[in-house]
Amino acid sequence: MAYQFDVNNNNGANGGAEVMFALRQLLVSVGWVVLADSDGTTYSGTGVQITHASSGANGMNNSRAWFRIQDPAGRREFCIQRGTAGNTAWWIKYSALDRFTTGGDATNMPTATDQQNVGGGSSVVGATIFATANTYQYHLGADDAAPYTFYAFAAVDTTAVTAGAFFMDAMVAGSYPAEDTDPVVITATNSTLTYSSWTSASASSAPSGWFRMNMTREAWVIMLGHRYYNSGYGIMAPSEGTHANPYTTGEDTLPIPYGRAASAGSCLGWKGVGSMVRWTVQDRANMDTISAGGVRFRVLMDDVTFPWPDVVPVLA
Amino acid sequence: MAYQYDVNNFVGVNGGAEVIFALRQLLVSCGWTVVADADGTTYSGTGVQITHAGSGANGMNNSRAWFHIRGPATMVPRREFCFQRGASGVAYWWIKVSAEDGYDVAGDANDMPTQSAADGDSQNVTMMAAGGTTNGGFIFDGPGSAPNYGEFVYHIGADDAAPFGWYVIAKSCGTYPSNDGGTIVFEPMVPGSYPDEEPDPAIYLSGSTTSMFQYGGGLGPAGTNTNGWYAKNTAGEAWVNLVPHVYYNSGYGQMVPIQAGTNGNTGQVNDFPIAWGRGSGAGTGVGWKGFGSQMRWLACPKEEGEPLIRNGVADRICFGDVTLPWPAGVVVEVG
Repeated sequence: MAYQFDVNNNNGANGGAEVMFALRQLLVSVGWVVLADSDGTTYSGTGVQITHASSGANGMNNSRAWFRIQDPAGRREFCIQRGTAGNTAWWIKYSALDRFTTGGDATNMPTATDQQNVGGGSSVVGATIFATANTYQYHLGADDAAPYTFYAFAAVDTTAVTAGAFFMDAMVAGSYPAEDTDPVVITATNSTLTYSSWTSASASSAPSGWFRMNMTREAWVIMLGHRYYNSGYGIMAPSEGTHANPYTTGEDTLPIPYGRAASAGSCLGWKGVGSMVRWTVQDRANMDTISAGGVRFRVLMDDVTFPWPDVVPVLA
Repeated sequence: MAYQYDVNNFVGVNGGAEVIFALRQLLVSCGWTVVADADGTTYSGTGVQITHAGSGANGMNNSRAWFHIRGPATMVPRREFCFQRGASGVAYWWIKVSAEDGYDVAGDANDMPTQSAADGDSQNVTMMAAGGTTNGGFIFDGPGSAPNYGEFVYHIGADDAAPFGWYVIAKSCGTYPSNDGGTIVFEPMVPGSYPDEEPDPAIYLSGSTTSMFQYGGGLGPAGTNTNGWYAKNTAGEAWVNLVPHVYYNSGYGQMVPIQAGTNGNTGQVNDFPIAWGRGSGAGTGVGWKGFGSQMRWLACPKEEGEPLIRNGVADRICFGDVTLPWPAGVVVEVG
């Protein structure tokens, strides 16, 4: 069991709709199930309405087209809707346990008791996640084994500047208590994946997750990634210099600790250590790959790295 | 295979000699071998000369008494330490470590062994203590060192399985818990957290300070507190100060040590692995070392010597900003 990939895709005229349709297809290939969908005109209660990334009948690139998808464990669900603002804008909802069992029609996603918005979208207008169509390459990865983490990110042609990202990262087993009902963090963002922009407490794009889910005082809150810092020698990770170990010169990545420290004011505490997304340890260009024994296995975007197949990234 | 302990020992008139002799005994019980020793008068090439912590024949508490101890056969690399009681008194010690090369030139009645190779890897394990000569560097708050004159409680833990970490902590009586009476820690990195090419994935520290285990005190920031090899066996190798890193976010501040609060799901106090290395501010020898295997950051403030209880099991103890392995359920003696 391992990560499956769909990388080096040249974004076409359908922009974010192409990314989200490809993500749907990849997730299905690793065991997720589309339970319902709509192309913005016609609803399917069995999730067979959307069959391509474009506009028109059966298309993802229609205003308010959406799909509901469930993980292979039959537990976590997402509803993903193309916004009325265009294919750059999306409304993404997440249900950790209760599932989207209520409603849903040609233009409206179903609801779940525990649903939460991801990435700033909270209405059919959607929030901007992806850059303008035809300007970027997109890359997807999904684990075909529990806890079924996945990512989608886009990089502007040639420059590889971040052009949108959406992922669910699970905490490393053993790094969180057994009582944590939902040890994952999720984000969707149009920001760069730099420490300063991605993990800012004020950013809607900051990773979020459940605090005390199914317990008193439960709350869906920002769960920030923490850097490794020493007041004498400065930041070890992420990036901001050259901190590679002296033996492999730059092939390090470090796990990201998530949680809420005292300055958050409420819902304080430790979440866990992320398993899929890891900090960089050395400044490098976006879409540089990290290798071991000559085999590429991770790719760098800003301050983080994602799993990657042993292929050369395409920049444009 | 697990940690073995010798804790809650009220030190006697032999001060630091009692501590170091107890460490020797515990390490031997965990598979280490005493290669050679001397009681300051008589040398043994088989390490059988020192048999007690006191002064006089066969004693550890004699000026320049020493022993050379080698790690278990399954330790990689198989490290060797030399401990010598300083001529300045029982509070003063010279501690040397060789990660790979070992000590192949025999010592004598009052001199520790050395290395024949000009490029040998022997290093002095010193923090705030001077060390490095037969006078020794100050580590233990022992006889003659005001104000406590030998009154401290010491605790020793050693792993009898790879990576064979160990620690010695002495806590002064009377002023307990604010004063520390001396500390020595051999801290291997967690396997997998450092590159395969790293020949000595470990941090070494020793010394005596009132905030030995506090970030900003004995543990970082930059200084000479915690040391280890950088780029060992390469052209740029150096024995350098390697510092611990806090978990910090500019939005919500420092998470650990101390400011994470209790776990939201369990109400318990967590501890976290410590990341070691040298950031860009070090200027030279910059790079990642690894995650420590023995000392962990504490999530929120605890009293000195307070146990860390998880799921009803108190198998770690809190000192300063860190936790260390501890015999489950044993209450710490505070003197």
